[in-house]
Amino acid sequence: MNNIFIIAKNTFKETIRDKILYAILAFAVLFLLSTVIFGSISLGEDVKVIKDFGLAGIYIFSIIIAIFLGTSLIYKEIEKKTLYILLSKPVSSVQFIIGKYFGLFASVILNVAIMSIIYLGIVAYKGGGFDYLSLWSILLLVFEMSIFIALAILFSTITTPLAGMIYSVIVLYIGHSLSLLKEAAIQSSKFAQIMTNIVYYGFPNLEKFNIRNLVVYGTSVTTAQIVYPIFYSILFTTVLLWISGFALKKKDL
Amino acid sequence: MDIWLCTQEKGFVMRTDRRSQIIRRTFLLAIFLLIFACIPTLQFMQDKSVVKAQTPEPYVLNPKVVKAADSGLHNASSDLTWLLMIQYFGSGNSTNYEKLNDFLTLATELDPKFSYPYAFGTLVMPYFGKTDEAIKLAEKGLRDAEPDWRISYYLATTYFSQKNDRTNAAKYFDIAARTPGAPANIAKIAANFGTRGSQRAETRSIWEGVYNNSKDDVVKQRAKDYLTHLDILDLLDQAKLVYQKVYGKYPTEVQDLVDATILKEIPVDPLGVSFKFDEVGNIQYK
Amino acid sequence: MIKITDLVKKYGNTVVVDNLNLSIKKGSIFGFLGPNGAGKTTTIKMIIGLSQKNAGNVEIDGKDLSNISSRENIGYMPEDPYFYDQLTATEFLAFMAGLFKGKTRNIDETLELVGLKHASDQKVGTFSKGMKQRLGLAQTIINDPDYIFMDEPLDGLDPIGRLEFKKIFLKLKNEGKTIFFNSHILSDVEEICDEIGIICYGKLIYAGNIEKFCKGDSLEKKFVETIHKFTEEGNKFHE
Repeated sequence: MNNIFIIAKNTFKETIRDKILYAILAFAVLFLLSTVIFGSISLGEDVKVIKDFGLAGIYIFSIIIAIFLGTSLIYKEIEKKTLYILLSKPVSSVQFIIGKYFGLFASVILNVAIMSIIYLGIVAYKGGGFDYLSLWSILLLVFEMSIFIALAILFSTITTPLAGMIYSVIVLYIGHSLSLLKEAAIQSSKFAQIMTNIVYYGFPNLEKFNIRNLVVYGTSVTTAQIVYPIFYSILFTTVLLWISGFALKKKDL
Repeated sequence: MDIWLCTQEKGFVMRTDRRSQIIRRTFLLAIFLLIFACIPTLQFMQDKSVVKAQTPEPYVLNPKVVKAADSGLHNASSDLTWLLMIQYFGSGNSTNYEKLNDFLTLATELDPKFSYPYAFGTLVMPYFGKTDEAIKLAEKGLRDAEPDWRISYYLATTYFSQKNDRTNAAKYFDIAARTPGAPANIAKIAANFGTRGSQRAETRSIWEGVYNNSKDDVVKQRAKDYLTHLDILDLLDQAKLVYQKVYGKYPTEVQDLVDATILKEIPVDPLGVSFKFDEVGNIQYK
Repeated sequence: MIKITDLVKKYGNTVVVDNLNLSIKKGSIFGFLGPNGAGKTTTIKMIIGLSQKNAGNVEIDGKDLSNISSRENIGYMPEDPYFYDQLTATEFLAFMAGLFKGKTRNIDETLELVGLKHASDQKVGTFSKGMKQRLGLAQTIINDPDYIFMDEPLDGLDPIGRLEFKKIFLKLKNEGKTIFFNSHILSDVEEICDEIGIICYGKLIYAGNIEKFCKGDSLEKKFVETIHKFTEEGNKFHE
């Protein structure tokens, strides 16, 4: 347990000091500030456009950070053999993976927090008040990022960073289109329907974390909408990290 | 330019060598700046040469494609469509109805709750002669979108000006007035609709029709409110004539009529408007 | 003591370590030698538990190192060590020290011992090869282990650095530690090792006292001779 905390702490330090992260965050901040300009050419729909683009921006940049850092995290350790040093200590590969996960997760949460504060500031400045509901959306975004970080770590354990990024992006698109997929399969053969169901239940269903479209219209959020996705995320993350730990253990270093 | 002098004055040799170096460097810098400056110049020249009509029409994507591709960011995609539409039509391309329809369909499919596209379409489509399509769009907006007074308001004006359908116009003006977020003067417009002169009798019969034909208590009450409003207008018109006969001029405030004991009290209008009179005795809203 | 029994490692059909048997006395310095690709690094990785054994056993004081808790008492330095660029030397050692349940050495003292005191707050990413090698040694001994395994520890050090390291190794030996290391630099091995093992094409061709092996000649001369003889015999066998 203590080992996990120590690995997490040092992973956090290592990622936070990475200049790439600053660059991505700088772009994110620029994008958020630019939403004001987009709002001003919307024929009066300023606040709505700022909210929609703002939340979309936080989402996109968080994914970039999660995938970019996550897919190189374990790979770098293997390539540079820092992993050899760690695993020669009384640390199991599972503790290592979990520690890495929490370190990166903490780093992503910090970045999301910074972007969110800027977002809330812009919305308030433009007359939208304090956007309480968006906080729910951001909470679910954090849990969605958890799945992506775990996924990126899994890919990082078994393949190169570039391939890992490509696979992660594929999962991103499939994960958001699962209901469309299911609808499309209704008219197809039984076999296609079975395959679709396998994909539907096997791939992470990411739409459940998407309440952006609701909170912008001030629709209040139900408990089920928050609780189900959180548990889903915890379970999925656990499974992905478990597989990663197993893959690392079986790896011949 | 390298002048090597076989003298003991090494310093002088160094200086000429340094000088030729500086000249060379300045020359290279000048060439670099020239090439660098040519880049924006070339761009500028090309832009000038492009004929405006050659810029291609934007291709508006199928909603299903966009939904699959935007990884859940439907609201933002809808907003983006909206902004692109504004840019397109703002730059003088306002003759292409098909494009307008494509843009509006995409925006409303991605985000059915986004109300302004419906309102905008309702207002603009009749200018292309597409009044029925405008009405259909407005009705869809009233069903799906966030409550927006503009949808019903523009629908009312469309019914009135394009179809000469005063019944529906009155109905939708009223809905607009009651929509949360409607500005105060919309209520006045709704109250004022069809109350001038000869129109008042027709408007009365419209609301009587609504009252008699509706089984919805809320709608019936609303119709009753409008009828009461019309009664009050009739009452004020009669009262002002009496005042004029007695005092030789029209009253300025309704209170004047009460003071002159022509009216018992200031009538309370169920639509929430209050009245005054202008110089020639016409009823005005406050 | 370190006891290696019938150790085998295969990659597909290629046998990289072929039935290795070694016994290393406690409190001695053991040099593991061999030409490039002989299987030295693979052997050390199997001892530590980083690489899976295909067959055989490794016991250190009767314990197998694939059991995580038995790693409390060992230190390992890989070949060409690399670290976390963004951490300082002190932070890195603190990180390593924190992973042990037992008592660990003082970080400042350890950095001083390996000659990195001046760079204790410098980010590891800015270190030269020699500095990285020194930090590698520091993290190897941070938990004051009884058994120390090192893969080419003197690689990349200048002559002064090599001297310092050798002094440290002898000091550790005097403290009763057991050191097992791979090396190419035979002159250094000659200086400090008590016993050596020579591996070639995965087979152990000598293990034992260094003087007995050298018989008066230099280690380098004897080593090259032995490898040539083994290779020739192997070729003869295949003909």
